[in-house]
Amino acid sequence: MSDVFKKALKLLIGNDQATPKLTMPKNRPLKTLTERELIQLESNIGSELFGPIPAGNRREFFNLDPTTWIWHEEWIDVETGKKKVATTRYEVHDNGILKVLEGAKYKFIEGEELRNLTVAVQMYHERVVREVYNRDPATGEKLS
Amino acid sequence: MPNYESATLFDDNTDVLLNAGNPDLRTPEQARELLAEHEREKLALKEVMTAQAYIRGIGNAVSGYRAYEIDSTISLN
Repeated sequence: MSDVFKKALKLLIGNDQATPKLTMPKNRPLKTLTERELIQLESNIGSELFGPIPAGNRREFFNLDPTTWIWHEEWIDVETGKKKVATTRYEVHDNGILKVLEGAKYKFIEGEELRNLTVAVQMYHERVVREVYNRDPATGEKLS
Repeated sequence: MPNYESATLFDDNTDVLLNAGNPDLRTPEQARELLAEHEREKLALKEVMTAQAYIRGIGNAVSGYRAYEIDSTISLN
């Protein structure tokens, strides 16, 4: 398993899954939060970008580093009743966006999938910059 | 309008010879379709590069804000 996948899984799984979902501190003491906690706040927003999450499912979508985006989905297979997990990594390369799945499956995305990812990233930026970092997404200026 | 029956169909002066060497290689219809396909590929590539630049920019911005919040030595400027 690659280091990036390991880092993503550590962020996703961690060791405190039972803890309550992080909420945005009202007086914005962001400097007291760790990178993982900030990413969790971002992912709370990212998980909402693709519509309602069915009961029992878990979804995460977040920016891991400047060139990596993670989409993680957990659901129960209706036929087997077993939990299914899929983690997809999107890497920004000079010649496009590489979609990487576990098991060394990868391809450069195009067409509708690329457009959907672009829209998701755009919405993520709009909401995360405004709601987590309290800044204007267009200018980067602090919001009052 | 390019002359599809010509043996010298170039792509935007990039010296890509579409019908190199043999004027009988493709019919006018085939040459037209080849040119259209080439145009579609160029548009798709443009879309990929535009999206790549956009997603890279957003990734840099978001990661930058995050780094700024956890490391007071980082400047956003």
